[in-house]
Amino acid sequence: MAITELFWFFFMISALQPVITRRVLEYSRQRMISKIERDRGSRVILLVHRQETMNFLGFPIFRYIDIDDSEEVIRAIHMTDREMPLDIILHTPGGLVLASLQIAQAIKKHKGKVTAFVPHYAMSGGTLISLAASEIVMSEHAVLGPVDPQIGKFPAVSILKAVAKKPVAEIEDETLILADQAEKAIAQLRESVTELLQNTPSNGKVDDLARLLSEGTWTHDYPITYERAKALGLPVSSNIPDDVLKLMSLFPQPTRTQPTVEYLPGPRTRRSAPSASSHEKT
Amino acid sequence: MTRLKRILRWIFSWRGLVTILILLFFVAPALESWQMENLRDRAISALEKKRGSRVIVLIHRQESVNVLGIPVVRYINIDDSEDLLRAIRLTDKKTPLDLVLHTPGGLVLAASQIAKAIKRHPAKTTVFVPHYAMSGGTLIALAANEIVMDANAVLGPIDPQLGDFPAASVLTVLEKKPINKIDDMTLVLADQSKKAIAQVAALAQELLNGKMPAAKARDIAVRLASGTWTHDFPISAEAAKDLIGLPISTAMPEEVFQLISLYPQANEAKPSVFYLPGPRYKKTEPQSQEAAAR
Repeated sequence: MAITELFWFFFMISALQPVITRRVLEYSRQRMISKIERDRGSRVILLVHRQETMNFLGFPIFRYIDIDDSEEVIRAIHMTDREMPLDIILHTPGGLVLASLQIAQAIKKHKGKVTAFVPHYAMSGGTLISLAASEIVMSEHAVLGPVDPQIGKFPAVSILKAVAKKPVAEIEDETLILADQAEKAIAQLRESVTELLQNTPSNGKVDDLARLLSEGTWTHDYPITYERAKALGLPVSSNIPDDVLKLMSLFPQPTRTQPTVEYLPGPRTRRSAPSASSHEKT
Repeated sequence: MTRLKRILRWIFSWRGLVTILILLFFVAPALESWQMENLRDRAISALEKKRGSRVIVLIHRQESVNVLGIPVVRYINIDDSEDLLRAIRLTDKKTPLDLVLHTPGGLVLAASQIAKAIKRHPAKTTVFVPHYAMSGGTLIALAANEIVMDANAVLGPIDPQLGDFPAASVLTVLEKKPINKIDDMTLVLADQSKKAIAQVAALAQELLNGKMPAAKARDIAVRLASGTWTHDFPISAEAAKDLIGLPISTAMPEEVFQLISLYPQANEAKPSVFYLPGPRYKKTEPQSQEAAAR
């Protein structure tokens, strides 16, 4: 009797354990978000897409910016006073152009100052969103990406290149169909980027910058680092608040049993070694 | 004391455990969905009472993954049009009709059935677009007397799609390539494309008739149906007003937003957007203004 009771006791504890951990994690996220909101006097919105390697049936799940995300972000913007500053924290590989543009345009319309925080990466659609912000705060090692559209599996620009190289009679019909869409998609995106960049950098550069970002100058996964973004004339700064980085660590990769990166937690500071410096002098 | 002991013993016994599990797994979700249903009904009837109208909601949430791990795409289909026509039939001819749309589009047939039914309704018809109504959704919106959009909501082009391809893009192959080099299948598709575009444009013009001069209606219809943009091009409220010339208002009642938030994503186990709930207001800060003045 005692053993079965003990068994059920353990069973219940282990069944409840994940729920409790999740609650604790949720609570610490909320506390961190409200701390940042208090410090900066702003509304904080996070858009985080962690790639889940496998769901419980073994199918990989890819997460990206979709319509539900844009709906949710716009709902949050709705609930924010028009004059209130907005802080949007991005960690995303990109996603649907429609959804990303909707978020970007909503941000552009917001009267208060909008700051985009990129603690690690915001590619493609994520970059599009940050272009709408009045300031992009990147961590030193964070990257943005080009915003050239993708048609199905292929970059729109590459489809157009293929069509340009071959005599038209020899090109496959399907490629020509894709090329028509590619042409429209690139033109539309360039126009949208130009609109979003309006009154950010010096005016003559806007067209060039929009062209550079949307016309497939690089491959779609090309990392635009902080220095590069600065050289391009984007309104970037690198002083990302510690709290934002701490907040991101509260969004761990789900369903990963064996972590691939390991280190002992806590900061490391180099000890000042007076003996060594005196040694150098001599 | 003994009573507590007995309850504890019951909980840790087989029968107790099974009962608790059944309660947790079967009764709780049923209760929850019943409560949600109740809230939705109440929200709809609040909106109906406020506007003195019949309110119909057409929402397609994309469920990313169903039980088997296969993504489910939801769109306007024949079942939707059947349900919607039934609702319209149950509405008095003098009662205004309010349709809340949140959809990526769907079958042209189903969408045009709905659109025509709305056009035919004698009392005032209003379409509310709180977030997006692409393609078939836009077609339905064209039928209404008034379109009410949120400032950030979008409509989309209504150019028909054949299989995976936009009809307009299929037609460009015929222009670019010598005909004896074109694949037979493409020619077959091109024939359908031409018909489909003409039909959708004619339908859109018919829906817009009576709201504007015929020439303008024709112009807008062709523009929306002939692949001027890619099929996912967002047409914002302003663009729809200025560029395309549709009659649009942005005075969206708060009740509509509340209603749509009662239709949550089905499998929202791991959301990707986070923020603390509740509105935020900017505090007036006289000190900082002073500082700025200095």
